[in-house]
Order: sequence, then C-alpha cells, then structure tokens
Amino acid sequence: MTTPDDVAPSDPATADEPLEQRSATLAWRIAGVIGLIVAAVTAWIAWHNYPLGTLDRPGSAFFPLLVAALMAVASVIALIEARGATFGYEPIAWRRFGIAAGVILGGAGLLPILGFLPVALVGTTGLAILIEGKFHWKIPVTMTLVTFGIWFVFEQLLGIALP
Amino acid sequence: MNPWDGLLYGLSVAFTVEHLIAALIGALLGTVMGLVPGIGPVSGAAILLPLTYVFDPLTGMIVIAGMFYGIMYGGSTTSILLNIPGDAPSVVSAFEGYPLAQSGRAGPALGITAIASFIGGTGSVIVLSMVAAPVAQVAIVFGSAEYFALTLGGLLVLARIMGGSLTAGLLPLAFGLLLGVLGEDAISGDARFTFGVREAYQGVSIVALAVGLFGLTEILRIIIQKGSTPYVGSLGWRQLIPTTSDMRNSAGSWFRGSGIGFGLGLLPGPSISLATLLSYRTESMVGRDRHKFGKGAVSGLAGPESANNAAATSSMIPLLALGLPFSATLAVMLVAMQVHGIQPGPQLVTTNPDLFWGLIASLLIGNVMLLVLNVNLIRVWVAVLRVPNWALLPSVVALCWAGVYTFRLSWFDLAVAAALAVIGFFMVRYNFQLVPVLLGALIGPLVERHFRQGLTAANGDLTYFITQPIAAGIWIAVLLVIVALPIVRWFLGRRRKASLVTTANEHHPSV
Repeated sequence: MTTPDDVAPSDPATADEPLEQRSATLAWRIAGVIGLIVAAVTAWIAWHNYPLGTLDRPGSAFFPLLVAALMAVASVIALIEARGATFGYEPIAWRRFGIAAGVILGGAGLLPILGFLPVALVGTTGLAILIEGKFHWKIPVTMTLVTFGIWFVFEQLLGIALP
Repeated sequence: MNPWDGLLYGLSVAFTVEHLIAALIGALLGTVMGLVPGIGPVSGAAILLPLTYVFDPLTGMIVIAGMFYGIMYGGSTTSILLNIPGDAPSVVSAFEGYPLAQSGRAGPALGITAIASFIGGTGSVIVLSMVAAPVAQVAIVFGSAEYFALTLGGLLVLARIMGGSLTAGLLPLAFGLLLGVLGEDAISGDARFTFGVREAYQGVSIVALAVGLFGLTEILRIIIQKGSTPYVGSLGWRQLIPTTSDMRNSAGSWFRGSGIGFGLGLLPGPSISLATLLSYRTESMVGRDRHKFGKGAVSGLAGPESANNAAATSSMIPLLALGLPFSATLAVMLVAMQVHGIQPGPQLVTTNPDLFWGLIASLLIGNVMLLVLNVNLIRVWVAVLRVPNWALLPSVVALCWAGVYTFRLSWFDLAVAAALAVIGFFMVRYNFQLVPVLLGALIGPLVERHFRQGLTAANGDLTYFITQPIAAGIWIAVLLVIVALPIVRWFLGRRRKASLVTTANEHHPSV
C-alpha cells in the first residue's frame, strides 16, 4: 500500500526547480583520457592485426583507424570543454548503487551458467528488498510468481528456450 | 499504385480479425510498458521484440506498430497523472496535463491526449502514405556516395542536435561507432576486436544496446533514489469526456501540432521531443486558452500530443523509403522488421507492396486501437500505476535479462547489456548523450560499407563523395541544419520551462 508519505520530496522528476549545477570538469577530463587511451589501443590493434588495404580497395583496418581518429579528436575536445562543464547534481546512495549494479552485472554473468529460474528468482528478490528497504513476505511470493510468469511466457507460449 | 489505392489495398490486407487482435495486444502491451517508469519507447520496444517472433511478418509488424503508439501514450499518462514523464517526448505533456489532473480534470486531460494522439498519428500516416512511395522512387538511384552522405551526415547532425556542447554528442558517437566495428567485417570476413570470443563475431546486438543503455540504465537511476514509489491519489473522475469548451480550445492545436510534428519528424535525432517543445511554445502564443498556460491549458496539452504522434509517424519515412533509422526507436523498429525478414528501403514498395502498404495500414489500425483502448481502460492504467516500485523494477530487470538473452541466445549480449547499463548510468549523470551511442553502433557499419564500396567504385578518388549532385545537396543540408540549430534552440530556450525541458531531456534520453 502506498501513502502520500512515500513521495520523496527530493524526487527530481517531481521537483519544480532545476537540479543544482555542479562542475563536471573532473568527470569530463577522465572521459577524455579514457577516450584517448581507447583510441590509441583501437588504432594499435587495428594497425597490427588487420589489413589496411589501398584507397581503391580499403581493408578491414581502414574504418577502425578512422573511428579511432574521430575518438581522439572528440577526446581532445572533451579535455578542452571540460573546464566549463557542469552537470545536474543528484545525490547517489553509493551502497544502493553498488548492490543494484552488482545484481544486474552478476545476474547477467551467472544466468547463462546457472539458468534463468534460480538467478532471476534470487536477483529479483534481492533487488526488491533493496528497493523496499526491508524484508516482507510479499516480496519472495511476488518475485516467484513474476519469475515463473516470465519463464512460462517465453518457454511455453513463445517456445523460446531460456537457459 | 497511387497512395489512396495503396492505403485501401493495405487496409484490405491488414483488416482481418486476427490482425485486429494483434493490434489490440500490441497497443495493450505497449501502453503497460509505457507506464513502467524508466521504460521508454526504445527499451520497451526492445524488450517486447521477442514476443513478436511467433507471428508472421505482417502480424508482427502490426503488433509492433500498436506497441509503438501504446508506449508513447503510456508515457504521456504518467506525465499527466504523476508529473513523471515516461520518456523525453512526454516531458511537455506534464506542463499543462499535471495541473489539469491536480484540479480534478485528469479524465478530460487523458481524453484530450487520446484524441490528439489519434489526430496527429492518423493525419501523419495519410501524408506518409502519399510521400513514402515517391521518395522511395527517388532513392532507388542512390549509390554509395548518397548513402554515405545520408548515414554519416545524419549521424553528425544527430551528435550536434543532442546535448549543448560538442563533446556531449561527439564522444558518445565515437564510442558507438567503435561498438559497431566489433565483430565480423562484412566485406573481408575478418573478425575485428573479438579477442577469440566466438559469440562476439556477430557483433553487438541492438537489443543489448537498447535494453542496456535505455532500460537498465534508467532502472539503476530510479533504484538509487530512495522512496521513489509514486503515489497516485484520488484523481477526481467526475467525467472522462472532455467538455465542449475543451474541444473548442484544442481543435486548432491538434492541427497546428500535427503540422509541426510532421515537419520536424523528418529530421534525424530527437525530433519528436523538439516537435513537442516547439508545439508547446507555439500554443503558448496562439492557443485559444493561452492565458491559462501553466495552470492547466488544454491547448498546451493537445498541441504537443498531436505533434508527438505526428512526428513519430513521419520519422518513419526515412526508414521506409531509405532503410535508414534516424532515432533509437526506429532502430528497434528496423530490427523488428529484419527479424521477420523485411528489409525496408527503396525496393520494398515495388518488391513487396503487400508488406509496404500493409505496414502503413497497420499504423492506421494501431492508432484506432489506441483510441478505443484508452477511452475504455483509463481506470486500468491508473491501477497499473499503483504497483509499487519494489515489485515493478525487479520484474522489469528479469524481463530485460530474458529479452536480451533470447534475441540471439547469447551470453555475450547479456554481458554487453549489463556493462552498458553501468557505463550509461555514468554517461547520463555527466551529461553525455546515449542516443548517439546506439545509432553510431547501428548505422556505423552502413557508413563503413558505403565508404569502402564507394572508394572501390571511384578507384580511390575521395572527391567522389562530394561531387555527386545529390550527395553534395545532402552535405549542404547537413551543414545548414548544424548552423540553424543553435537559432532554434535559442528560440525554445527563451522560456524558463523550456530550459527545464532540456535538462529533463538529458535525463530521459529515451527518444
């Protein structure tokens, strides 16, 4: 059951004021540096592993090298523009983020190995407890129904095998 | 075949009980998806994609067309009732829709939305049916130079339109192009950047991209905010049908909005959001009840809603006539067609008129179904909105896993989707755009193919790409759009609310 108290006053989607703007300089610089590294690695791999070909018969290294060049240019622009960059600041509960991201990543990794039913069952129940903030008997019951529901639709109705 | 005959022929192909039920299922599923927070048209359509595998091509397309419109209507519903836009185009719907709902007129607001969507969508389909075939006739002579100009030019326009600064669009575009290179090279057969992983030979799947970047990213964003279960209060259902004065106030807006939407829908990029904004801005100047703007003006809801559906429909012209998807949603539509063995493009209208006209007719049917559904089921949608986040979000995550995996039965796709969810989270946080990543990855291989084929055809002469007259014209148009855009943005930015929207756009990039 939801009550009016459930509405978080800080919910950005319902807040009327624009978000507080903070400097994104560091983040953009990191993005620029990562971009340069990725561009260099891409170019190195393409140069050493795939044929370049000639202008009238370009090989499979040709386009990746051009993309690497674009990436490098974009990264340099990012480093230049970083100085004045801002972003709408929203506080992040890092522990919540870590758990949620962990479930999404871990679930995706384990699902093909352990199968859909066990992974989805544990994953969704964990996420639900994280979102609700406490354990409640409704959570495992609902998630069992949901997991088996999805499994039923894919396996039985659509005839697509899940792992 | 002239357009009217074509449309009638398409209707005769599409108008069977089976197809009507398919349209109904599509619109129903689409609306539910649109109501789910974080699921915009892109990820919604991507998740629902596996559900269409069981149908024959035309039925599958009808389901998808129904979903397409349903998802957008669902997004508007949450905007109006909760002030939580489901996706970027419905941000504007909240401006007047939410105040209307607050003053106990949620019913008429949703009614106006349904009628506006219907008029915008239907009008646009009719114009589309007249324009698409002639455009395809022109495009049939296009060679590599023209396609290279269209694909690369389109991507550059997109990267420039999205986001204020150059970096915000260009860096994600480069990232997307890089993702598109991964996998087997279509021309030489070389496996590029696969590092011996067999599943990576197929490249990055669009479903993994769409679900990861748009679905899972948004879910992560919602989960980290505490206490984010929305509350739907009693909404005062005094009446569902708009009053005569509502109708009078919105009549002009429907047609102005449809016109604006149709025109802007032809541009690549976030044209739908742009169209809704421009329509809102127009209505605030010429709408019949403009004095009530900000307090629940019907015309400020009717115009943008018509623009929304009109733009969504007209944006299909480049897809149908050229085979090029210029928005993330259309990219998923393209994949849906390819799954069923349909390759849209200049040849489709001549080689497969059944599908071409059937597809256009199915858009029409989707629109009608939506109107029928929404007027009757508004109470059901409100019930869906009462499902708490703890039950909804994990279910969507499980559905995403199942949808991504079943697309190609590949663990690699799952890993890519999950990784992109985390990368996308940080990109959105620091104002980088996600749409150029998706379209770069999808259109990049086309750019490469036409570039290499063009060079071979021209014996290595690079001037070939700009000396062909049509290609040169496209490049000039690309330059014009890039120059004209800051002027349009300045016009839209003059209103405080509009600047709020650009912020919201960056946070709901699921165009």
